[in-house]
Parts: sequence; structure tokens; C-alpha cells
Amino acid sequence: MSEAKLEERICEDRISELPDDLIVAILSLIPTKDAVATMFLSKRWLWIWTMVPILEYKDEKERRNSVWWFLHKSMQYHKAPLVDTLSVLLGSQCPTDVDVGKCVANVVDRSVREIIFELVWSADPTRLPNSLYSCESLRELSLSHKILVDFPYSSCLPSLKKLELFYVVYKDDDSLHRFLSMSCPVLKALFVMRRKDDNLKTLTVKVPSLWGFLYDNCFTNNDVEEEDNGGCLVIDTPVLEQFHVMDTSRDHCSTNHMPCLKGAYLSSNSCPDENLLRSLSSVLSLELCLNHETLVCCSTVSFSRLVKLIIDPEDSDWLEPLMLLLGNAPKLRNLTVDDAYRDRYEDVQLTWNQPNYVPGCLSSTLEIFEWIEYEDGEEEEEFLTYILAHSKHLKTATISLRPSYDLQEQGLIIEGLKDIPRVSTASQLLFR
Amino acid sequence: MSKKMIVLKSSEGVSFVVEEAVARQSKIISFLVEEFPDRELPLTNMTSEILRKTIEYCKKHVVEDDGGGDSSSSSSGDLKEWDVKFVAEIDQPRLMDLLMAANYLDIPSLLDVTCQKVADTIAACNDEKEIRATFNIENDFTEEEVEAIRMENQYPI
Repeated sequence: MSEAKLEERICEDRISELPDDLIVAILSLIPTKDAVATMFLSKRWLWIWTMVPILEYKDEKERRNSVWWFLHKSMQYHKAPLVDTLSVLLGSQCPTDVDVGKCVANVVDRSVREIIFELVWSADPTRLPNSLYSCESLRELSLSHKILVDFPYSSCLPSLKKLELFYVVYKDDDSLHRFLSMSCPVLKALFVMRRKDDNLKTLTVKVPSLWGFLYDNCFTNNDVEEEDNGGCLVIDTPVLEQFHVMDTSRDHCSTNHMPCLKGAYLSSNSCPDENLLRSLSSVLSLELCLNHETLVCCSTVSFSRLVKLIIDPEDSDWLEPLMLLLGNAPKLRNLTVDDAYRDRYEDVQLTWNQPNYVPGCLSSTLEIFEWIEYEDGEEEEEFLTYILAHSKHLKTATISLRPSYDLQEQGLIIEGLKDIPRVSTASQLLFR
Repeated sequence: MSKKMIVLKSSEGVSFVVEEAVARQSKIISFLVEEFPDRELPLTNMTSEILRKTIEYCKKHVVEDDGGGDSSSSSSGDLKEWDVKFVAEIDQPRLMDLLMAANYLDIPSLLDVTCQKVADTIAACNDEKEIRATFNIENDFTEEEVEAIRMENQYPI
């Protein structure tokens, strides 16, 4: 190519020559405000942004003016026949005398697939338009904060796969119960984070198609519910595979058996119901961060398929209940003790008496043992000694020490632990 | 077993012999190979340079299936890194050619990385003047027209 021709090529406006659909694809990858601003580039660009199917408007904390006005204006011109995503975050600067639901109704009319709506304005929680809850194309819906979730009787979201309800308030128990059990026949993933005074007494999750459920009922201001306030979580999800529950309330929890369960995480202040644990008994991978009562409860349930167990002992006297739990987990291959969450000011006296029998998993299946933030106490060392002495198929044991030990202390502890005899001579003892 | 090869011909008439599995990442070529087996495929709107680049990309991304299941030569993290480097080294006119080629040949992953690179370039500009300068876009608005659009669309951000 001659130099002059090359020069000419370099000076050409190639991007404006692209077909509309490619420019739209490019503009879909940049923030909406930047995409809208391309209207000033040239006449070629004046209207292209109106076809971009992804709309994202976010109030930023440091800005005094709300993005609402820009949203309102640009939505008037926006004309893509199909909208893929609408993502809106309206902050405390959002005017309170406007109809924030209008933009939702607008995209519902254009076969939207995903809506993320987070409303943090200073006014009371508000309802979104009823048409949202019968949007046939909607696959993912996320509602946060000042939204009053009121599912009408006519609700039907036949494509909804994922639903997030974060710190919203509800009309009542029934409206949510009815919606979950009747209006979203293909729902796979449900994420619920509760706030105080959200008008719910009983949360009933009866969803035959549900694959994953995450539930967070922990209040941030540390005011753990001391008393039973009659609240209840009812779960009836026969094909659930992932179950994550964090609950500092004293709500009662009842569940049906979940035979397909692969992973479960349970962190609860309330004394868990034995039935709850029994319904988890098919689980393959379990993380428990629980108090002493819960561990005792666990020890009465058989976890016949459990392969991986993580224990966050917090402030419980956990050694002996854990041994009972190990006795009920004959296929366990991977055991982790994560002691990073212990309250060091709380003086918990651990009890350790060598058990009468060796749990089956130690002699036949346990391969990986890890202890995070090991504290060098007498009982801890005895427990570790026991594990290393009886885990015949152990491949690796990894210990990380509490970070508060200085280098010299660490060296001494490690020297001591290295001398503990290991029945599995092929195993490695690693320190992090 | 020897690998099946096919011939792709650029606009300058240069032939490129490519493994079929490599070329089949293009949905168009995949279709043509089935419809017209054992024929040279003329790609009349692709220069040799761009065709060579496109083949280089497809070679890197081919997942070889020699019976051993997943035997892709690179992990997905490495591949991502490679992609970023691949588009970073291309000047802008050629990037546009490559984007058009990905669109024409229907190679979705190449279209994604080239569009992303253009989008990143736009997003990195501070204002429309900088975008115009970067992409040689001529401003064909009069000042009055710009003013009118601004009035119409004023937004407080």
C-alpha cells in the first residue's frame, strides 16, 4: 500500500460506516450516559443510541442532582423495540413527587428480559406498576429497598428464572406466598434479604422448580432478636440444590426433605429445629457456623452423602459434638475448621475426651483436613493429634495459625505440631 | 488420522490452507463447508491481511477434539489475556476491518472482543470532541443545531 493511501486509510472515519446493529452492539457495552452523549458526534449518530437495548441509570452518592431527570428525558426518546436490561438505582437525591414506576412500565411494554430496580429515596416505599408482575418476557427481577412489593392476583411471570428481593417491604404474607407458589412456574433462583418491619410474619417458599435459595435475615445494627416474635420460614422446594441461610432472628424454620441438595450453608442464632437439619441430610457439601446446641442437634442426623464439611465453631464448645457429627458422615473426604470468627474475648472452655470409637470417615475416607486460625490450646492440640492419628487416608493437613502470634511464637507452635505422629505416612502437613 | 484442510481465498486471490476445525468457528464457513465440500471458499471482501489475522484468532481459540475431551490448548484465563493483547496490538482501521470480518464470517467471540475494544476506546474519551478526534468523525452539525439538541436534551449530569 502506498504511503498516501495508507495515510488516507488512517484518516478515514471507519466507525460511522459500520452498520447500525454493530454500532448498537458497541454502545451496549458502555455506560448509558456515554451512549446517549454520542448523539452529539455527528448527524449519523444522532439517533443510534435510542436503539441500545441495555439501559443503566445510577445515582452516585457524591452528585447532588438525581439521574432521574436524565432517565425521564432519555426514556422519552428511547425507541428500541426490545429492551434487554433496565437497571436503575435512585438514591436519596431522587425527587419524591415523581412516578418512578413509569420507566418500569415503559420497558415492560418492550419485552424486557431483566429489571434491576433499587430505590433508596427519602419517601416511603412505593408500589411498582402491576404490569411488571405479568411481564411474559421477564427472566430476571431484582427489587431493593423502598419498594412495596404487592403482587396482584393476576401475577404471572412465566419466564422468570431469578428473583431478588432485597430489604423491600411486602403487602402481606399471602401476596408473596401466592406469587411464589403460583405465578413463577420456572423460578430457579430466589434471593431474599429481610429488613425489620417488612410486614411479613411467615415467609413461605413453596416453589417446585427452585434450584437455589439464599436467605439473609440478619439485622445490621447488631440488635439480635432476643425473643421469639412468632415469625416463621417455611420451605417446600423438592428439587433444591443450593441452600444458604443466615438468620439471627428467632424465627422458626420448617422445611421439607430436599433430596437433591448439593450445597448448604447454615448460620443461625436460633436453636435449629432437628427437622431442618434432617431435611438437609442428603447434602454433599455443608458449611455450619453454629452454636453448641446446633452442633448437638447435627450429631443426631445422618449425613450419608456428605463429602465436604466446613465448621465455623464461633464461640461454642464444639470438639465433642463435631466428633458425633463425623460419626454420622461416613463418606466425608474434606474437613475444614474455620476458626476465624471466634470472639477472642469470649472465654470458651473447650471439652475434649477421646471418644470410645473412631468415626468411620477417619479410617476410610478423610483425605483433606484444614484448620484456619488454629489457636494453640491444650484441647485443640489433642483434637488435632487425634485426627492425625486416626485418618488413615489423609493426604494433606493444612494449618494456618491465628494471626496474633508473633514470628517466634509461630515457630515454636509449628515445631511442636510437626512432631505429632501421623498414621497416614504419605500425608503432608502444611503450614500457611 | 490426518486433519481435514480447507482453502480460503482472500480478495487479492491469496489462498490460505486452514484446518477445517479452525475455520469452522465461523458459522458461515461451517455452513459453506457442508454445502460445498472440497471447494475453495472465496472471501471476496476480506484482504489477505485481515484474513490472516482472523485465522490467527481462530487457531488460538480452536478446541481440539481428539477424543480426549477438553483439550483446548489454553485455559480460559490465558485465553482472555491473549485476546486483550491481540486486539491491543491492532491499529484502529484494522480493528474496524477485523470487527467487520467477525460480523461477516459470524464468529461471535471475535465480534465480542473487537466490539469491546471499540467500546473501551469510546468510554476512555472525556467528551465528544475526543471521540471525534480518536475515530476521525467529522462534526457535520452547525453550532445552532448542536445548541438546539442540547436544549432539547439537557440533563444535569
